[in-house]
Amino acid sequence: MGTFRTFDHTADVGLEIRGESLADLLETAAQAVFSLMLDEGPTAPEVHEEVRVEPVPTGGGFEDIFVAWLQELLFRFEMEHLVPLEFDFAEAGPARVRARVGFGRFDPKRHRAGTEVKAVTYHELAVRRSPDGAWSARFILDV
Amino acid sequence: MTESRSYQGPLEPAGECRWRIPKSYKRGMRVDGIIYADDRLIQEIRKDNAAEQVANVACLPGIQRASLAMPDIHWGYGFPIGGVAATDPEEGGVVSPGGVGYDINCGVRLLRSDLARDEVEPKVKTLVDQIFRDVPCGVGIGGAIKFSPPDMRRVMTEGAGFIVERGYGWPEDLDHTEAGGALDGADPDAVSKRAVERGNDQVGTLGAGNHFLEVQVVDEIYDAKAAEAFGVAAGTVALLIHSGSRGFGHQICDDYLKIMRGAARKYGFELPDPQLCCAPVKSDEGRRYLGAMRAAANYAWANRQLLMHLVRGAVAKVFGSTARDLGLGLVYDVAHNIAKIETHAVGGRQKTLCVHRKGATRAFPAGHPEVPADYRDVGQPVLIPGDMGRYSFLLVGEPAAMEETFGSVCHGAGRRMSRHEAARGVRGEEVRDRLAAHGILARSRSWKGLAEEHSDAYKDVADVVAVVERAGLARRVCRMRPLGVIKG
Repeated sequence: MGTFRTFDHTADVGLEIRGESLADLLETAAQAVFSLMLDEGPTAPEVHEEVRVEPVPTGGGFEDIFVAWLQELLFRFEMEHLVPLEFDFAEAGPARVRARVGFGRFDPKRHRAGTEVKAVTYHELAVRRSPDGAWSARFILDV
Repeated sequence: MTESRSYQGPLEPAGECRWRIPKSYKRGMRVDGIIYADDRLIQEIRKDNAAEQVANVACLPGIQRASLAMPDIHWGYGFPIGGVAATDPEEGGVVSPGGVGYDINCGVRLLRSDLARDEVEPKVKTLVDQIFRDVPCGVGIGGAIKFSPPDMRRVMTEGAGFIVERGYGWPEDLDHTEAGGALDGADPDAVSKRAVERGNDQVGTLGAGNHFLEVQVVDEIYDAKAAEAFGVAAGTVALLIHSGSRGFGHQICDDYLKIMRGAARKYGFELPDPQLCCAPVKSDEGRRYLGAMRAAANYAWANRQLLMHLVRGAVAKVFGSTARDLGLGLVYDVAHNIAKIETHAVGGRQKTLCVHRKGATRAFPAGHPEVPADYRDVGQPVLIPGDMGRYSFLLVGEPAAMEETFGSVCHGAGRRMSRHEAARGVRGEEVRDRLAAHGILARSRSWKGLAEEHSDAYKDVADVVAVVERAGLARRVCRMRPLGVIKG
């Protein structure tokens, strides 16, 4: 399991993620984003669904898949209140990610919301693999 | 954990409350940057990278006059928040989704009333609770009305007018809404399926974050003639609604940022920041973005119209009357995240320009044909919300805004602290109690959200407004103090 920390950006929130692999990076990033969005959320998965992401390439390399992955999860939250809790990656590459994700369901009556995330921005976005094989990402959320 | 990067570049005094970043500062700048600020605010502005972003925007193809920034400017992504940039399509001028922002047509709407402060104060808790119940707000809360696919198309093309036709409002509301509550040229076919899915059940929802609804009292009048024209009187209660195009607009911005990243390369633009990605207004990508953006702008006007309808209902319920009898008329609704095709004089010539207002408010002066007929002798109302513990302002546009800023002014107080900094060491419950001690009742779905929005996190909006008044861009009409605050 990777690590994350937030950094300040005047009106928004920045996140810095570290992971041992691209899959680990994606999982950690998802958990980081949802930890900001929810002060208290579901803890046990209720539904398991395959999440498949194939971004339209914009020339950003790993940035494209990284943003598309988080956007997909935010979309599922907005539409169905699904909160990703468990991840099992079948494939994680620059062109495609496939994962079986265990989702809990956010219930506004029982849980407590944190910061609403409007979007994952491309501003100063960087996804990198270091020579020792570890992965890192730095990005800003529009909140 | 703060990682601030202060601006080290030039800022030359350029007249009353004006600072220039000369175009010689940076390779690629096509025009100067101009920041409106006083001596104190400019020191705040230097603390982050917003001024650098003003210089970056000056690199956009076809930009006219200057890259402009208002005194509430702060660091955005690509464009600064509080920025104005106009491009000329005839000179290869571009449109940039980053120059509008994620929350397309985020804006503010002010309702007046005949209710006196004394009538409302004893009932403020009942009123705030009623509004909190009736207006869907907060993370993951959907709207009361779902629109069928044909109705969604009408929301996209007809905006607030469609909502009024459905019975949620009064026909005259549209006369007091910027652009009559709908921009021509919206193109539902340029909107993704995903945006429609996200937007479908969010019409009439406030949202979260910095969006809010306030019960206010008009506590100071600066311009009696304008105040009378706008129907606001000292000691009466007003209601302010701040919201935008919700997930619908966010998705359109996301979709087109991807398209524009490709387009910027295709057209060979060298841009200092990928979030400035753009396409010529007169290109397929530019036209499609503008078509989708207008659909989102219209969606936002429909959203604020429906929110206002819910608020009117809540107030009427609490006071056992009708919205008409309580005089709950719309003073004005104005966008502060938008790109519009407008006519402006540049270098003595009338030009049709694409004006980006990213965290900036349109402020047309008296006599402009787009000012509502009943306000035309006075000018367009400009709504400037402050932080929830202090006050908000109603201004009116002045001629210098047309001459310098494409008829634009500031849009709010502007953050001085990041959200984390704001929420550090203060809990939402404490913020609520502090507000209560000042006679302001706050309701929020999220304590953390409330903590992030406390007063000290923002500049004093009075300082911001003083700058635009000293610079001659707009003048103050009145000030409103909050009695009750509803946040998502």
